[in-house]
Amino acid sequence: MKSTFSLNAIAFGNLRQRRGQYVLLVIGIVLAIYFVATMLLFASTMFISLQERQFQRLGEQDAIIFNTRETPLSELTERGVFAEYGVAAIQGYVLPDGQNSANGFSVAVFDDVALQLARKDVLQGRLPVQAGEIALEQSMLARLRTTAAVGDTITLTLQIPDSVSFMPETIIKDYKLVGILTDKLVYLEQRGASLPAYYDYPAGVLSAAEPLTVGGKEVVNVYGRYLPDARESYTKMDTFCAEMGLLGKDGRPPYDIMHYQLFDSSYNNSDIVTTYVILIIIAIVLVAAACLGIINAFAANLEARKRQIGLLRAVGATKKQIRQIFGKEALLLSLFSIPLALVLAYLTVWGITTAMGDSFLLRPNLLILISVAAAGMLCVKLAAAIPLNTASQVPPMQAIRNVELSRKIKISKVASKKSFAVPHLLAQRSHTLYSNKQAAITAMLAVSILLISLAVLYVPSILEQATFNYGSDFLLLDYRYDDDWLMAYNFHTPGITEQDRQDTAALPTVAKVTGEKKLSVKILSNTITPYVTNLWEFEYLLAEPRHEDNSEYAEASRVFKALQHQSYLNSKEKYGYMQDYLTVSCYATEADVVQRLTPYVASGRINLDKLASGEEILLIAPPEYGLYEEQYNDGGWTRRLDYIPDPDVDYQGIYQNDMFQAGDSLSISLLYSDISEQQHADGPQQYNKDGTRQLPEDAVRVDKTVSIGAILQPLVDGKYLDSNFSFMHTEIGDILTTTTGLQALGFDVPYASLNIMLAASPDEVMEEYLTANLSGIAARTSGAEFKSYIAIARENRKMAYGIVIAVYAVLFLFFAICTSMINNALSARIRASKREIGTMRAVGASEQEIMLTYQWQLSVMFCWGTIIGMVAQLVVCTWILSIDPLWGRVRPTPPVWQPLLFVALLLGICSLSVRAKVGSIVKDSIIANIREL
Amino acid sequence: MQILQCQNLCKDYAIGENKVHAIRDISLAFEQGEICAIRGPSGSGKSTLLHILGGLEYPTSGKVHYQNEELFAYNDNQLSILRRRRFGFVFQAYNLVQELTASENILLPVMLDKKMPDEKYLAMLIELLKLDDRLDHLPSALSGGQQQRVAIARALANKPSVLFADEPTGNLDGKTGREVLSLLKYASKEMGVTLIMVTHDLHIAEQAERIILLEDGLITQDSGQREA
Repeated sequence: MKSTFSLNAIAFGNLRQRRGQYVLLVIGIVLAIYFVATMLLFASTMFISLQERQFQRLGEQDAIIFNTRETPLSELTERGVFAEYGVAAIQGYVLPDGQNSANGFSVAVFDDVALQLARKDVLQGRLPVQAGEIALEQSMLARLRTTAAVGDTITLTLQIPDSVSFMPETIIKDYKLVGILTDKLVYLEQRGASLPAYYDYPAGVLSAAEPLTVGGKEVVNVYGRYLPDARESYTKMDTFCAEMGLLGKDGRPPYDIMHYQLFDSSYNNSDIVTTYVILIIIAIVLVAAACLGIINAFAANLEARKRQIGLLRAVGATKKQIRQIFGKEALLLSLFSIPLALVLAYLTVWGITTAMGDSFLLRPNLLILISVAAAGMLCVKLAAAIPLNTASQVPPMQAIRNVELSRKIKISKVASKKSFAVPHLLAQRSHTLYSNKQAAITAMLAVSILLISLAVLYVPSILEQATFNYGSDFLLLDYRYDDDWLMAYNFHTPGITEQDRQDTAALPTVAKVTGEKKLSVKILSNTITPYVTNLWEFEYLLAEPRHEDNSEYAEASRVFKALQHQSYLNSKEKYGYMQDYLTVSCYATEADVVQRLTPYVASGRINLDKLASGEEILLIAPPEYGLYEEQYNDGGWTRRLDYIPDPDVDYQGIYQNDMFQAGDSLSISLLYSDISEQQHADGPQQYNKDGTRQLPEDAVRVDKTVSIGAILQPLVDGKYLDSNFSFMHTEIGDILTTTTGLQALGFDVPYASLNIMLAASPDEVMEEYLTANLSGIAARTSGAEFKSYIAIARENRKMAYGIVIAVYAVLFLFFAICTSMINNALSARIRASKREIGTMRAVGASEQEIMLTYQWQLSVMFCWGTIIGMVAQLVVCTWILSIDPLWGRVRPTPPVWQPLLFVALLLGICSLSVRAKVGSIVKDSIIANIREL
Repeated sequence: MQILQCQNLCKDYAIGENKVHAIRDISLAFEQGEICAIRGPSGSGKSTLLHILGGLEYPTSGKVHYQNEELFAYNDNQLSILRRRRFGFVFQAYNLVQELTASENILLPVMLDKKMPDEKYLAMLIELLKLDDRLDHLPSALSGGQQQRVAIARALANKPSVLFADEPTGNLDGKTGREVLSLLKYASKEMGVTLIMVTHDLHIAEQAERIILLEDGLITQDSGQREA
């Protein structure tokens, strides 16, 4: 006989003797740690991936201060603005065509810290080390329209800054191209246009030995990294700039903040962030579910050992010792489960990230693994603590003699029934007496139903995204924001040219290139009717501003509109418009696209020849439209149009087209200026002191008279006119013609977009070739964007399928946890009721009645979970559908049959399991059952 | 009139590779209203015999007839119906359903039979067993004697023909035991129920009209009908 005996021996002994029960417990614990680990690993992967994506594109600096002039920079660290900083001294601004600043970029000498912070990673070659050498970002070669390679000499025309502006003469200099760098400027420009030298992100790197041009003055940019407390750095940077007199032309401190934040709205991470948020929510739910599972498994385990606890307490074990014995068991189990769970979690995250594409970086991190293990242990400890605490609180005699039931029946105020159906009464009594043990199952079922409903709600839209047809394979896009109701500014800025279009069309496998153009023109008219004045874009026509809401902005809005109208009157006088004018967009696209618009013709006809000659144009104007105001919850409102009025809607007004008829002659006028952003950092639109718009002296007015060939309706048979275009977004009054027609009108402008359709799906090599070439063509134009819909669609598909697989895996796991929890609870109940089953049979209950008793218990168990779950899912889904703007007008309804099917399936499986368990007990003789305990 | 007979009953249990003969070739007959005690030392097979007579356990061989009907020719359902209508059982460990109150336990066989309870008869039974003030209690809140009285009430609730009692006083103190026994005898006499009880206690056995002594699975003595 053993002479030494300890609490550990009891704990280990328990483990050995109750293997079956502990397997279930281990599964529960592994699941809990697995979910915690997966959640944290995924969070870390997401964070690292998003951060790395930003760093690769924008650099690692938290902020760039432009043009620091004579500022003593050492104070930046002394005063705690930055933890470290580096300097880039801009020596010149490259004019790609030798004359024009459009598509230009600056070159600078970077110190080591700035190089590192700006992430000027070398793709080919090296960084310059001696005078006359240069390294350029990849896309800059395209802007220079050169095919130069590393080692070649390139000739650059440079504007040299002189601390205020530029030296009068440009200089031409030869450099040896020693390196090609990763692109930064193209991404930085998407955050906001850069301005030559004084507010620019240099895209060329010169060596420190490069001499400064005589008479020039470097423009010094500072690349800084914040202190750990980013907010403090940010505040201090403001103060620092103000104190040092560092102010931009717009009166604001001249810096750009790139400080990495997960939810940075200025940077498009929406795909990853959405996934991240969804998965984190699911993981949290799963952790909660796994904890419930552990609580349930521990509780069932401890319930079965209540007598053992009672005996231990009766022989003198303290509550603390009871907690220690069972706590140690939990600890031992979690120590065994953790490595297993971590490996599984790592493999899962690896699987998900691999499925989702190359943009995810999974880096094993010891700190994370340790914290995951600790978090997992904590999770298990917390989950185990609740039943453990309850078990240790049970008085010894209560544990040995089951007096708990009597107490509960008193609390529950259960009255004896005079007449009853035995199975029903037993099921009802079990529910009353063991309700605490069923709470976890009810919660789990309810959460499962909610989760399934959310999956049912979201999966179709996720799959829809995966199969979204972008209408073309590649897109080059050049947004222009410089037009407004007054005039087109910055009119002659170079953009995507005809040459670019031809180069694109000449690429192999390109079947078709469709170009779209846009500019603002004015329709001159003597008769302005409410058909147009009710539209907000023409509100400048109104002498009396329309009544606004009573919000705090109402007065400011009224004043603004009055000034806008005054500016309108001033512009008419200044530029000699005798009639009123409606500033509309004039779009141009390929003839074959225009030809396809025939179904939208409300009156007249599309005559391509007359469009091409500039004799005719097409005009967008529905025969009528209904106008209504939509109030937001926050008090704001918006005005909405129905192009086909709905008889059920109470419109503010329905307006007939009484302005435009096919065949009418139309006077149109182009009013433009060449004032650009380079002249006004805060945009070309400038204001006088009285608040009215400045009317540029250089404005040019070109008038044309055309006739309206056809009136087009924006919406026919539920299909919008705009669905035929890739970029164009038409409104009432907008003009449409062919690209040839636009030239004939004399209004030609660069392309706003080029849609590229391929003859066939390209293979990997061809796709890479096309992507490289098209990126090069896009890079010729500053601010032009290149999109590969092939790659985007592929990524979308990968992402969507990854998410859907993850969602289904999670649902399957939930199904498994639910089944195991319910089975655990019922098995424990049936095991404990063996004697009762024997008694019931002795008293004359048939096998069928015994079976029915447990089936009823199962049904009652499911009933509450299902009711709560269905109500919760209806509330949550209805709420989501009411707030989520992603849903279209035809919103899906909250799912009903899918969660119910889940419940039915679960009930079916559990029911079979109950039958098997009860059946095996009933098979034994009645006496064997009665003698069991 | 004979109500229950058994012929050549044998029951073997396999324990590992060994076979234990719990009862061997037992043939007996019981008269209606008879009070019979089966006595014997522990392991003599008396409980096994009682369980087989009550249809709770199947014999290895031999037959049991209740009112000339072969008991084990019934299927499980028919046997269950017979137990709930014609037999009553009282066990040493009371065997009450823990989730049901005393009154619900008493009503159990009636409710399983989906019959309207005979209120008058049940009231008489409850009064007789002095359970009036314990009816709404769960078994765990009752004393041993009270639980056994509930078990007797349950056994008698459906007005059975035969009452089987397996060591009905085994868990009770002397005084309570005697009370329970008197109740069983009273019920048997008042209602004409055949009482077959198993006991190892000579004093209890002597209360019966007939004493059967079982030793090592064999009847070694059957007193036949005698004056208790």
